This record gives sequence, C-alpha cells and structure tokens, in this order.
Amino acid sequence: MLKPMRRDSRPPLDAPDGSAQVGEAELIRRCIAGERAAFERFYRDHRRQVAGNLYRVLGDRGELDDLVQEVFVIAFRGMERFRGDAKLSTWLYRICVNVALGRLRSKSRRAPPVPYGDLLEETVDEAQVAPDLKLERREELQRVYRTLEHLAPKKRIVFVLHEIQGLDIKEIADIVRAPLVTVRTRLHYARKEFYKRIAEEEGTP
Amino acid sequence: MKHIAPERWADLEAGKVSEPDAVRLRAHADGCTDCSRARDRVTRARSALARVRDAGPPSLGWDLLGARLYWSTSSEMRRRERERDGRRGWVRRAAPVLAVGLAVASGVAAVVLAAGHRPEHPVPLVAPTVPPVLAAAPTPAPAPVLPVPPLESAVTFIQGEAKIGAEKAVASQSIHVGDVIQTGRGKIGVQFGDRSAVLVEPESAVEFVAFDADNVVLKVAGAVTVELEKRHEGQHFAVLAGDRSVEVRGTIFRVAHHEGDLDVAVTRGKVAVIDGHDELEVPAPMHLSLAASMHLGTMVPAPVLAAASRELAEGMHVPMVPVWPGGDALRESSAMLSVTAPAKTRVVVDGRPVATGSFVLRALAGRHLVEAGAQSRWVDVERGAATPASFVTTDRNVSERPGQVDGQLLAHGVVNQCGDSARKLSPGSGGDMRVEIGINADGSVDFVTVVRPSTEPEVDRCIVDFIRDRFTFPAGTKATVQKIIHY
Repeated sequence: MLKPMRRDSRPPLDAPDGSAQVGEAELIRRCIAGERAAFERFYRDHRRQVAGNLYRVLGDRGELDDLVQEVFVIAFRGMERFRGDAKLSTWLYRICVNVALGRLRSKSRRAPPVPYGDLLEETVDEAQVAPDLKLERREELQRVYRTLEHLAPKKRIVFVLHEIQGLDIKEIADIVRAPLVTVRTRLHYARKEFYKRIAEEEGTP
Repeated sequence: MKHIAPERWADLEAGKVSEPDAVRLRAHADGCTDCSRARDRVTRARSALARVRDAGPPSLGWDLLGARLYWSTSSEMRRRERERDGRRGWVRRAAPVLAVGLAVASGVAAVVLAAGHRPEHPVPLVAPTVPPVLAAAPTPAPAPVLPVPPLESAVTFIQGEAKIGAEKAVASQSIHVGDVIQTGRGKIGVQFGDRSAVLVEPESAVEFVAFDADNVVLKVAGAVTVELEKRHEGQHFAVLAGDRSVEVRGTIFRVAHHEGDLDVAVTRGKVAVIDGHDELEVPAPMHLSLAASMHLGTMVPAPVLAAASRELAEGMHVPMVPVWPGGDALRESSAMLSVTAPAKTRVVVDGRPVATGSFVLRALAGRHLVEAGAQSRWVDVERGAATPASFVTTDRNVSERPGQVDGQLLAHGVVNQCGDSARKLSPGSGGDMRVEIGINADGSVDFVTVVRPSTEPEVDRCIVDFIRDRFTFPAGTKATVQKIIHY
C-alpha cells in the first residue's frame, strides 16, 4: 500500500519570483534538520561570496573548486555550532580564512605557486582595456601575488583582508579570532615586508 | 639622506598621512630617485590590489560543484533526515497515548467532583506520569542466547605464494576467526557462501577479525576483492583498512590499503567508506582514492568509464563455484583443477576468464573446458579427488616450460620453505633473485644458474639446490627458462 503523502507545513524557501522567502536563521535551522533544499539554497546564496573570498586571498583558481567545496562541507557540519552571535557572512568568512590558511600552509611545503595569469580576466571592464595595458596589469598582479607568497600565512591573511578587502582591524580580529593588538602587529609587519619587497623588486621599472 | 619606508607611500596613497607629512614626503620623492621609483612601484601595486577588490568572484562550474557537495554531504544529510523523521515518528506514535491519558485523567476528576467528595489530598487534574504498576507477573526466563554459527568456507583458488596462518595455503583448508591469509607474489580465493567470496591479491595480508553469520570483518593490508551476491539476513560485512572502514551495502568491490592510502572501487552495488565520523557512499561504477593525509569530508567518488569498468570487472573476478552446499560438502563434491600455462597467457575456464599463468582452481565434479592461449581442452574433475586434475599447455608457438616451472614452484612451495628458514635467522628478511633453469627434452633439469643473486646467499643456494634436486618435468621441448623468484 502506498504511504499517504505528508503535508509539509513549512513555508517554501523561495518566493514565486525566486527571491528568498525565509530568513537566515530559519534557513540554518532547516539545514541542520537535514533539509536538502535548504542547504542547496544556502549554497546558492553564498557560493560567489565564498569563491571570491578564497580567490582574493590565494590569487589562484587552480584548486578553487576543491576549496569552495571544503568550505561548504565544513559549514554544513558546523552549522549546529553556529549560535548566531556573529553574522552568517562573518562566520562563513572565518571558515574561508581557515581553509585558505590551511591551503597556504600546505602550499608552502609543496610546489611553487602557479602563475596568476587568469586573475584579471574577471574584472568587469577588462574587455575594453588595450592589450598592452592588459598585459602590463597582468604582470603587475602577478608581481603582487608573487610578493604575497613571501609573507607568512597569518600575515598574508591579515594583509589581504586589510589591503584588498578593505576590512578594519576590528573586523579582521573578529574573523581571525585574534586580539586587536596581535592583528595590528601582524598587519604592521606584513605591510612593511610587502611594500619593501615591492619597492625593491629587481627587474621592475 | 634617510630614505622613506615604502609602506609610507602606501599610507600616502590611502590618505592616511597628515598634510604636513604628505608635503614632506612628496618633496623627498622629488629629490630622491630611489624613493621616487619606490613610490611608483607601490602605487602600481596598490592599483593592482584595488583591481582585485573590484573584480567579481571567478565563475566556477557551480552545478558540478553543487553535485560534488551533494555527494560529500549525502550520507550525513540522510542521517539527519532519518533523525528528524524518527523524532516526528515518535511524536505521532506518542500522541494517541497522551490523548488517552488525558481523557482518563479528566474522567477521574469528573467522577470525584460529581460525588461531592472532598479528598484529603487534592486529586491531580493530570494523570500521573508514572505508569501504574502491572499486576505481578512471573518474570519470563531470559531467552537463551544462541551462539552465532561460524561461517563455513573453502579455498577456491590459489596462484603463486600464499599462506593461511603459518602454513602454505592448500585447497583442503578452511578459514576460522583470527586466521590471517598472507600472499607473496600470488593470490588466493576463499568462498564462504552462495556467490560470496574474497580474493586476496598479491603482497597482501587479510585477518578475519569476525567470521560468522552475523558479522564478517576483514582487516586488510594490501588489496582484496570481495563479491557478495547473497548476504545473510542482517549480516554486517566490513573491511577495515587502517583507521578507515568500508562497509558493504551491495555486491562487488575492491579495497586496496597501502600504508594508510585507501582505494575503493565498486563494480556492482555500493559500499560506504567510513573515516572517523565521516561516511561516504561509493556506488557502482565508481571508485574513491583517499590518501592517508586526506579527509573523507572533502572527497567525492569518481566515475569509472564504461570501458574501464568492464576491464575493472574482469580484473575483479573472484573465482568461486556456482553453488554453495557448505564448506565440507563442497570439498566432497568438488576437486582442484591445476592449470599450468605461461605467465602471461590468459586462461578461461568454462567460458569465464579466471587468471593469467598457472594456478589451481576449485571446480565441481564433471567435465570443464579449459582454454589457455591458442589451446583448449576438456578436463575431467573427479568428485573429492585428492590429486588435482591437470591442464598443461603444449602450444608449439609458446614453450610449455615457463608454465611448468611456475607449476613446480607452486607445487613444492620452495620459495616459502627457503624464505622461511632464512627468516628464522633474520626476521623480516626478503628479496628476489633471478635464476636460469635448463630443462632437457626428457624433462630432467640440466642446470640451474643464479643470474642475479639476492642479498641472502643462503636462500639463493637453498632455492637452486631445491630446483636441481626436486623439480621434474614431463617430456617435451628442450628449453632454458629464466624466472624471478621472490621470497
């Protein structure tokens, strides 16, 4: 005998126009309960943010797919511990940072970094830029990420969050879960080291 | 003149420098070539950083990534769903009981009030949560716990060097809990039920941690292929590979475990790979490679392409007999079939590829068609025969002698004997040597020469003496055969 269908009293995740109909807290609650559609929604809402965060820190899309997957798997497993005292985006940012840190640490023990040739292809106005300028920009970007490779992972994270993402010290301290003074010190030395290398690099005009 | 620290140029760009300082810095750059160059470089780097900030996130294969994520989380998602449904089910089941309880309690209250009786102790309006004690009934005697019967088994295939426990594997043996099967350059197949068998691959060790009708647990170092067509009702079957385990949900799979690295391939049904709290299902036709340092949480099984799947399925064929009357009954109703063929010759028995080279296979009594290379012949297997029925290739284009040497090495267990005596003196020793064996047309051994010695001269001498003194071959062609012998 067929089992009668159970009517689901929960509100649908999406409104008819495709926009989100449930709030963050409800979405998280449903993810924890094992509702696949909720987790898919969570993935759809945050995948670009996660990819962007990782991409900016690492400047390398070689393993980006794997790392984005890792972030979401960690998020899925850790949702039960998400208490809602931080914003969901901050919590996710924190996971991205930890995954990127792990990647940077293992990378420093492994092969040299891949070239960052594809980084600029993502910019919006890149199509209108003259080829020689495009090449120049690409080389400059490669130089920047090559220089970042010399920074210790923790310093690099703080540097990227501050100099690229534009976050202030307090926000960074919240993400990396370190005291303000520690973040400030790391940032001080990271900037000093980075700009010194940039200023002194051989072969640049 | 003291130069300006490069990060100060970044501060200047960012507007974090006071106006007097900015004027001073610019003036310094105008008069200092080094600092002017440093400022330009820092400015360009900052522009590059700003472009990274403004760039949109990279476009990835979102759907594919979503599918991978689905795989990574599927097991856990199902567990949560089950838990959720379990809780709902409990509420549904408990609801009628609670309703009856409430009805009874309100009925009692109504009767008390109607009688106008004021009890000394107020009657609670809600039924007590402690259930009434049932009339004393004789406690039933606990049901006797029946011991779980051990599984019966029979060796169905031997190729090359294999041991069960400390002894060289022979076809008459069966497996018991705690037994360890070890292979050198060989394989061994053990059947333990209807269409259920395990094939231990070369250079592997398998311990039978549990082996009964409720539980079959194998601990593997190396590789095993398992075929489980019919499992006992509720029987748990798991392969332990280091800290991880592979639990069987279906039928045919291979587990390779080498120093923590795990490789699981499934050709039919599905298995679940368990690593700590993580669990991942690998369905057919897929495989999963998991290095020792990797976490299961981030992995997804990879599909096996159709052609590779056929190849894999053939490579994962576990030799077994088609009916299972029980271990002892099978030994009585079958016998071993010895096939001697050159090392790379594919041998097909009754239309089914079995292996390449020489081996011993259990076959039911009756006539069997054996095909080796270009040669085929019917071989009669007698019920319960102590001596294996024999098939030896005599292909004119392919010398029969290499296959015969393999057969002799297998029959005498020379490698095990010589290797074991060396290991008694120095445990853990092992190696390989290359020998050249001259065989006369009448089948006698003409000479045995060590082409490349191993590190143990005693073992080399033992093996050479053994071959010279004990090996006999049927009359055939005069040939010289080179063999690498591993011990």
